[in-house]
Amino acid sequence: MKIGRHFYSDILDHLNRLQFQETPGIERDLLFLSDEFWLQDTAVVEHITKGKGMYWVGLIFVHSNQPLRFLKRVITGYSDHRKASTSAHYMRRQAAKDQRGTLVINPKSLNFNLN
Amino acid sequence: MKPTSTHIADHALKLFNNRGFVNVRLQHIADAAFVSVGHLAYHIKNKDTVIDDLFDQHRKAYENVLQSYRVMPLFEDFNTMLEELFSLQERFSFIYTDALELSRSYPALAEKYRNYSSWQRVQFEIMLGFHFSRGALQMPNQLVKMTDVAALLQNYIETWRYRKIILGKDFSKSQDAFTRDTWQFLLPYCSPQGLAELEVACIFSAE
Amino acid sequence: MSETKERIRRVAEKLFFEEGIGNVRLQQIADETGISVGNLAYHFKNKDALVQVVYDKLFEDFSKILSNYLQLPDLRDFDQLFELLYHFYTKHSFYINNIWEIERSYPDIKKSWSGFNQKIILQIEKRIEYNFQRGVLLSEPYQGTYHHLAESIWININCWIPQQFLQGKKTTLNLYLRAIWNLLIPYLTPKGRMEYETKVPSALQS
Repeated sequence: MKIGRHFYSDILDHLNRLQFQETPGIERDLLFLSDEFWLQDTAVVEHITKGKGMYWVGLIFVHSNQPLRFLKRVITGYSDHRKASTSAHYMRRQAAKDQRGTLVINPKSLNFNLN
Repeated sequence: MKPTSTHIADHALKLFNNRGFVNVRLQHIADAAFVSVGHLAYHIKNKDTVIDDLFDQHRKAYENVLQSYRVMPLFEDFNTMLEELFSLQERFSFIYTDALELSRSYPALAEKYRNYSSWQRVQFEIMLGFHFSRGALQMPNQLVKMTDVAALLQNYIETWRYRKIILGKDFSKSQDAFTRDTWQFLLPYCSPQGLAELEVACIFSAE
Repeated sequence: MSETKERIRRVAEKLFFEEGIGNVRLQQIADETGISVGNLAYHFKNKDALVQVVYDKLFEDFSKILSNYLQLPDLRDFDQLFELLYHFYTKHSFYINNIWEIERSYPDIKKSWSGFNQKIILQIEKRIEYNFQRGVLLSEPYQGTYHHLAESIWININCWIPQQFLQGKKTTLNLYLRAIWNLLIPYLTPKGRMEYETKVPSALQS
């Protein structure tokens, strides 16, 4: 197969670039795995907000043993409310450890200070 | 043995340059010089003597050029020297292109070539040394020695005609390409002063 | 290739080196291989066919070298390339002897070879670019410097061995590597010099 000069030049450029792309990363970048591990034990609730003409799908992650440790994130937005709620529904199920909702959280185990 | 007459030597030279010395027979030389082969045989015993004469001619001319430019004050003079060396290469091109074959076929010539090469190397070292000491050239780092640069320069000049063949470019007849390429080779060794000199003399500029 | 053919090819290579393609007669090749001219003609129709098969092997070996692009992610890659080419040219020493003959009389071979040349020069240029991106080589002082440098390196790779022979000097791998590296060394950055002195095998040996 005859390869023209420009094509060959491009191939070599690509091989050069590969060297920069597939280099080993820094350990620091992988720390998020250990840092965010607590998210594995969270209950997830969807949270839809309205704003700027869009319905925003958010998820709230609450740790099952320590309810004061929680995380709130807005994931995506839709212009239609039904789209947003369907999306939120499935996103919650995917994110939650307990997908079918069989786990029960005992409210007495949570110590709310109502003052 | 009397030297080959200039007339015959010139014709022989042209033929060697055009066809390669291997392909040239005495008959061809005789024809080109409009003499009979018998007449030719009177002047030259065989092809070897002509080649030897031509080699000596070239060597003397080369020595003249290098010696007269040995202590040139400026890069401009170095450039003129390069131009003269290029003319020599053009005139005696077969010596450059057929060097390997000649060395293999004529051991005496091979010996002459070796001596001539050593002498050439020393001249280049002296020249480069001069330009280093006046501050126009500098060493980019301590990994390369001046003797290395002289060796590279010598190789560069001697093998320039191979560029046409190896790179497939047809600029072997261009004096400008020769001088420009040689300066491009010397660029990393030029000091700011040297670079300024090149610009001012319009020998080489940044473009 | 059959054993006889291979033997013939080797003898042809050797004679092309010693005498030049133009001067070699089929009778010589047959004699040195130890077969008759008729037998030789059975395997190779004429001298051109022999020349072709000799150069085919050259191209084949060269393709292997081309496929080694950037095997090592740093300056050592140059060392490896130079070393491979040294062995290549030592093995196929007939090449430089016959370069003018090919130019004159074998345009097809010339064309194929020039394609290979273009590729290797591009490879050298891209290796230079890559190492510049890594910060071990300086940026181009003038536009086109690195293209010119790649060409000069290639010419030197081709011509160093014959030049050493002409000047009556030794040809060893280390001297060769030093000579070729000397073209690149002026363009090394301080980081490049470090890498050269500590990692590159040829630098460590001398």
